[in-house]
Amino acid sequence: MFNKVKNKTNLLLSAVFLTIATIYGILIKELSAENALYPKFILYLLIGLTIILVVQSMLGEDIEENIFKDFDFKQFGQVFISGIAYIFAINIVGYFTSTFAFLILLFILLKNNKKVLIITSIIFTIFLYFVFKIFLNVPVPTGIFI
Amino acid sequence: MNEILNGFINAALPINLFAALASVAVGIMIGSLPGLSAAMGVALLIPLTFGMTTETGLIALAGVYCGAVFGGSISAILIHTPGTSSAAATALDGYQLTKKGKAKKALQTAVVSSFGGAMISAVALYLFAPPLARLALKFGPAENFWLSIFGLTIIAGVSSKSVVKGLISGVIGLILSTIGMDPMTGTPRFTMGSIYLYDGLPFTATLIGLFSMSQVFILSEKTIKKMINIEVEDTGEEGLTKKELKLITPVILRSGLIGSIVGILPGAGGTIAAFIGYDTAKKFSKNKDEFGRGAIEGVAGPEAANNAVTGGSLIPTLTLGIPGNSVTAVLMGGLIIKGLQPGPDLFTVHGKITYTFFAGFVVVNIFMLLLGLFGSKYFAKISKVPNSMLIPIIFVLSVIGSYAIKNSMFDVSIMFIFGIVGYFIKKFNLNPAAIVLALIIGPIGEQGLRRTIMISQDDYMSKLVSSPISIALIVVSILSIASPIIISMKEKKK
Repeated sequence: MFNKVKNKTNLLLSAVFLTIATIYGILIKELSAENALYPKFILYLLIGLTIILVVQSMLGEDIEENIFKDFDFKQFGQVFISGIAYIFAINIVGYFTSTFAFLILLFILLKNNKKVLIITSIIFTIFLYFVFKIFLNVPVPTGIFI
Repeated sequence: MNEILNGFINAALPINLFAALASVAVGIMIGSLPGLSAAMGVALLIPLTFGMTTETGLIALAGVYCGAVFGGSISAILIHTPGTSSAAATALDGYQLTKKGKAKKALQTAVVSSFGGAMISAVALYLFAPPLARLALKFGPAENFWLSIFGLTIIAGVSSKSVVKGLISGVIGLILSTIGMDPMTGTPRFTMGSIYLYDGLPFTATLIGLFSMSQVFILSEKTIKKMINIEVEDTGEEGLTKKELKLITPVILRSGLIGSIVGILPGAGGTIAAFIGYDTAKKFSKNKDEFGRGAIEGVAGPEAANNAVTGGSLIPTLTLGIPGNSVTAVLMGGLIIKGLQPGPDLFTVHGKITYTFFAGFVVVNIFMLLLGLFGSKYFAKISKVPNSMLIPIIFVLSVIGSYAIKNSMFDVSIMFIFGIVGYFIKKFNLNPAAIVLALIIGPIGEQGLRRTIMISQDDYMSKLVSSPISIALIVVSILSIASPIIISMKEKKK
């Protein structure tokens, strides 16, 4: 979709910016005149600059540019999904347990050496415990475990 | 003078020395790892500084900044892959020296030059920051409004590939800066009913998302390859000789000055300074033909220049609140979180903190010199750490870093969302530094504009442009947008 030419990428971006401008414009209407003054100024700036970007993109040369070239969907998906699962798990099983499990899981998914991944996960979790729990005294979330 | 001396006495406290040493080491590690940036390192370190005094925290942030800028040269010299973009010019001759079996010489040249450049910029920091801060006293609401516009135009215009995209990045940052309570009336705006957003977007979480989590996604999208094996064994090869040190001294002085000046100009940054430093070294050299084939002056020029940017870029950041690049934008965030506002107060009310920070900047660079001279080969081994190890570690640090500020999982969610936003920003060549700067200076600009309107009622337009400072700021804002466009048009004609 946005892989072939650069100016198509910019046109897509312009569409995103116009959508942002529309939503922002709708939200501005809920504000009083005084509170809306500066946001309106920003809104007009965004619209004006987006129009310039559209014109530039229409007049610009077609440049072959695939910004998602060599994109590894499987690997990216593994990091992204396990990351979300980790954030959700923190409140359920506790910060340190979920962090240790996340490190082990992601190190395995990213094909690290088994011995290295176990040692690194243990050392790094202990490091986090000392820095954030002991030194900074951060009350990290606890769940079923720590 | 007393303040300067006291600054050094405070910076020499054991805790500050330890913070300086540890942070420089961390900075060099981050810099030597291709794909990790100084801004990312500083963003991740901010939460850790909460457990430190303001002075120690700021010294630690400066340590990561200076260390990372030098660290970038290690992988540039050894594997022809600049750890940071500002080390790209160093790779030109540095790698050629490595190929000739002179890696030790190249690394020593890089660290000595980096130290020299940073020291020159430290002098500039001491000389120019206090008078520039006094100038800020003359700024009223109208001038503050134009200053915010100038900050955005310069960072968007100079540091982006496309001026329009750079400016749009700034405007997106301005939009984000309006989330939260209205700075004049206190009414909530764009909070979607969430009480968590009354104080605006959580700043550090947003920073960590934009600079660190986004990097996790960038590193994850490409199939991870095994790292190149770098072996920098001590083969007894010769390091930098006295004769060579004499040869590069004028190069360091010149590039140090260039870097300091470029650093003061907001938006220009280390990469530009390094290339100017390289070109100037070549122009003045008697061995022009050696450049590109392994000239030590070709390493000294860019390295002195890019490290001189560190001190130079702190000048507009601390005095006017306009960071010169993404690292200082993040660093300024750290400053504000510590309750310090850039401007004259830093040199009067908070003089003790500021001069300790300045002295800490010098100390940090001394440690950088020592670690670079005696530890480069160990840091080179760290640059072998594969992305498959870095991705989970940066992820975990981003989560705990964003949580630790307010002990809030909401901040973690914001960090993750801005990680995704930051990823697309980088993919589409938008400018994350402009967004961060706009987040900081947006409220200042808004207050400036609205106060001007309040004071002058119907005649606010003439009030906005009435003072010479306002007019000067308008002119430089226009110039900062126009100059990259004119330069690119001229290049096209060529």
